[in-house]
Amino acid sequence: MTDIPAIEARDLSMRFGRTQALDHFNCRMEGGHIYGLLGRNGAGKSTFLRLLTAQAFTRTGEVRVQGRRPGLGTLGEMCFISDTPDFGGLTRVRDVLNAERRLHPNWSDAVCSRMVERFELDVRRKTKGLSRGMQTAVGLVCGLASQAQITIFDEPSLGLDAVSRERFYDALIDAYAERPRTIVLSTHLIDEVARVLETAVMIDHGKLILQRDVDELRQLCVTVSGAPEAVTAATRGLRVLHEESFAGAMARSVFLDAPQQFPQDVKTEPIGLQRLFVLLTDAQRGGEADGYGNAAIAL
Amino acid sequence: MVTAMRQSRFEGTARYLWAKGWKLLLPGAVAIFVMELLIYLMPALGLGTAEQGVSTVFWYVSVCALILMYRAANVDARFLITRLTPRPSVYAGVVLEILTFTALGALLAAAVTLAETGLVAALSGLAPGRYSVSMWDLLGQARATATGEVVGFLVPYTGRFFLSTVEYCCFYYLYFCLLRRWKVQTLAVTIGVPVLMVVLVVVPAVNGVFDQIASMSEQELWQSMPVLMNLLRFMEEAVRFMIERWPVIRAVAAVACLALSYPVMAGTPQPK
Repeated sequence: MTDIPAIEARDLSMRFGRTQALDHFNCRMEGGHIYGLLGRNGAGKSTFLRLLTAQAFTRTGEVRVQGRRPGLGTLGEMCFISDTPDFGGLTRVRDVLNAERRLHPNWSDAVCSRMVERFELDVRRKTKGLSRGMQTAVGLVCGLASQAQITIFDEPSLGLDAVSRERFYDALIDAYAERPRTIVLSTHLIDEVARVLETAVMIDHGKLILQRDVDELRQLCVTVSGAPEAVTAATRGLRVLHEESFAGAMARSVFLDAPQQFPQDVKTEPIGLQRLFVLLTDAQRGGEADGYGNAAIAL
Repeated sequence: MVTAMRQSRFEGTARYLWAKGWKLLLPGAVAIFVMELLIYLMPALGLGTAEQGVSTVFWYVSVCALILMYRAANVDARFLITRLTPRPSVYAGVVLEILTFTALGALLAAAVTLAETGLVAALSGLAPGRYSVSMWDLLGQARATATGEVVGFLVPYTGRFFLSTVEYCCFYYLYFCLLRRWKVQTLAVTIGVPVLMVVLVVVPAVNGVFDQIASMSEQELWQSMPVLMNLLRFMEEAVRFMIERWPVIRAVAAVACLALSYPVMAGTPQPK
């Protein structure tokens, strides 16, 4: 693996009118991993992706793909599946797949056929008559079959039913195992994608709030519960994200610097990624979370 | 070279635009051809007479060119750029589309016209006196009044049609790119400014001249005749200058429009 990251953003800012979509956003994504770009609606995820894929431009900060500015030298290695289906006026699903085949140098017909079958797509159907879920499914088929070195899915689950979403995540893991590449999933459905992610990149109000390995987060972010005195003693000196008391017991959500053992008089369980995101964004609004963002970059 | 082409997505872009262009042109051209054949068959069945001109497919190719340039600047650009096609490849694809679509469209229209000429020639043997040929171009520079003159007329006509359609495609493409990027400003400049010029400058000037003339005596009118004649002569020379150099002016303007359309297209951020 080279030292050049697949994707890098440094001090990236972008404003639309009075809205600060990105605010000195920094992140670094190494090649060959699955990243989750996680955030609420309007957090700045899509703006970052549009800058990354040269669909929008900014003069503040810089974004690099394989060490180069997004453009003629980098876009050929990338595939971007937008959250807004756009079939370019093509009449039928098979016309869309044919057009995509011609646009992607590494396109795989075998993967395409497998995905069409998995999502039960009728390629003869007109694109105008497709449901929202089917439109999303066409995009997902294109993204997986493109086999691009950097594949980006923006809100890949919009309109999909639960079964189709599970099929997509399974297909994603299979595709990644077959041909490892950099995959970025941008979504607000955090818990759902957690099982496929290797690294979580959390963004809120245009700022990075956390970038960490998902397995590491399971060990570092825990809820400690039990009797109030025991919980207080066990979590002394730790970063507490949240505390609640109920029925004579207490639960504290903590962010550890390193995995540690807790006394037997308290119970611990990992915090889910979505819950962690909520706690971190709440902490950020309270002005406490700058440290998580800075510490997170230095992995 | 091949890898670079594939990475640039130029081949895919060109094929995508090509497929869309032919899907628009062919069905309409076939429909027009069939209708014209039926029209030419009527006199052979004793129903009136027919005068063969150039096929309406020429006009249809011009209309398709306008539609294609609108699509190229809007739907197609959005689709291709969302698929991460580099903007130089999108632009190169559009330039290629202008040239190939116009060339093949012109050849198709010429072929249809020739096919109809063959039919008319054959049918005029069956129904003499009911068929005639009358082809001319807009500037009246060339005519064909017999089937034997059609080829000699069509070759330069098709060439001129190709050149003028390419030029108009360049103008349309720039205009639609400008509309996509700065809709209000473009409409203001292209519609608002000419309207304002007419209302605020031309109409008062013309009214002023007529008022002036109405207030002059007969002697003053005769005295101002040489000035008026000089003015008319100047205007005539200006018009003649423009007409003589019009092909060059149009070609230079087309190249300039095509060149300008790239920065306009490339600088347009993708709408959400």
